[in-house]
Amino acid sequence: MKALCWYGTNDVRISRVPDPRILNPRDAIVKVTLTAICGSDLHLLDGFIPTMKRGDILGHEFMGEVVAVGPGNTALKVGDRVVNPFTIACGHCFFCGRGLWSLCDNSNPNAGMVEKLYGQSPSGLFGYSHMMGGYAGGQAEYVRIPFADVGPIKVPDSLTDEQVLFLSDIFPTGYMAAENCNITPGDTIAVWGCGPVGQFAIRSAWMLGAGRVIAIDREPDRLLLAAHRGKAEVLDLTQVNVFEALKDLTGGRGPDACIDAVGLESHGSTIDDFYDRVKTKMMLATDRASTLRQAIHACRKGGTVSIPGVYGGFIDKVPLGAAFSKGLTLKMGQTHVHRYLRPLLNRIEQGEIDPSFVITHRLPLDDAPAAYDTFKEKRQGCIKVVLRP
Amino acid sequence: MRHLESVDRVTDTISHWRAKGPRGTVVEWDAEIINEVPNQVIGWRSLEGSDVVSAGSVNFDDEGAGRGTRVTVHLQYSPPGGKVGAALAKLFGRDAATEIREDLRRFKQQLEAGEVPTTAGQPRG
Repeated sequence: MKALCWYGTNDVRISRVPDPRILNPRDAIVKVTLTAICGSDLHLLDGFIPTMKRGDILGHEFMGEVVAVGPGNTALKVGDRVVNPFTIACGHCFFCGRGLWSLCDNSNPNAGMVEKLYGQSPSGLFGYSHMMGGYAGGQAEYVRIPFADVGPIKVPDSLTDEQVLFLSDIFPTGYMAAENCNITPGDTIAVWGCGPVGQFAIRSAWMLGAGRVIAIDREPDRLLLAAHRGKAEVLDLTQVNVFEALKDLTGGRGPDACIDAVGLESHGSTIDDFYDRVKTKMMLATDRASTLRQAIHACRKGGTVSIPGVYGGFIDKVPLGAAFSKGLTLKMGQTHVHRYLRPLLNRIEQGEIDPSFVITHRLPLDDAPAAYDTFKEKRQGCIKVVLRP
Repeated sequence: MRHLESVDRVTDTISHWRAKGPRGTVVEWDAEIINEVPNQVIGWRSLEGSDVVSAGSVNFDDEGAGRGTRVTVHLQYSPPGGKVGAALAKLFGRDAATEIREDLRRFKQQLEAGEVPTTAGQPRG
């Protein structure tokens, strides 16, 4: 089959590889009908995530048709049309039992590897480095899904692929980011990053009762989408002092909750961003964090900073003193996608949201390498790329 | 226990163990259960004539409040010299505790998830 493989920093290509096969009883094999490039895939492209190996198949947002089912899987049958969560979860451990699906204890074959870095291992992920399991991803014609009896959700034929694909990651991720804000009616929510996750965080904040949503980015196209489809007030961080602007907009109090939908490759315009760039270039730090600092700085006393943006390693100059003194709550982590599949599918079915609004580029899988570049450089107003194998 | 080849029951309390070492070497021992309390503990020691002198126990403790069972392995072994000793060192690597911890992790995965997660045999470019 054809698959998008990673060969090194800024080097992804379409390769011919063997078809996947059933390896464990609960597996399923899916023929991919639609897949997407995630902002977090760019962290792989840019070489920020350790333990990648040449030839790894990328992609964790995908859906398709079940073509084979393992002998221990009675939940799926050949022909089922499913969307698959990007986190891999066994459904039976201490963590799955508590709804903490992205922290599943039993899905990472390389748990010992990540324990050295993080202390404990989160769940396995598709196409996201060997310390996260080394699972082949779904930017391919076929993909193997482990624990496929608890992950994939069957979707009705009345909805198109484009309407349901983002249940795999970015819609639940934006939704959980908003849920983590503990929104009470009327709250003001500030969202840094108007990429796909930010767009869904904005929409979700409204769903959960926000009174005001303020979106922050530097890309005019993304701010426009946040304003038009997200009904957010927008701040262009290249034009205004974000901290002062947020203070002014909230009578000096600051937003009730701040969402960092940017993560470890923040593009700031402040002195600390320059400092991060120097340190990461010199391998003295691994992540850039100007957004996180700004979110902590801007958040009102007693508020919440919610972090759906991915962080991978070490950052410094985190203003923990500000977080402490203002009594902030920090909430973060990979999305417990399984928890949100059914409720968010219901919202799509009821017409509350059509997630395809974020798609700007529709391309064949063969064009994936060029699409990565377009997405990374944010050319042609690129916000979200979907690929059809 | 990736290196284990077979375990054969000899009597109710005695079993014969066979593990594969490097370059076709085989390490064999007989183990006798000397202490067994159902759902709590299994203790054993090797019998004379074994390639390796070992003794150990596995304890099962209820963590309570739906928090599962804590499984603790104690293992003592004194490897012989020569080829068999070298084979054993290879089996356990430099760090027997790490090997046992990984064995316990796979044991837990098998019990909780019904299978051990793997990527062996998947495609790559």
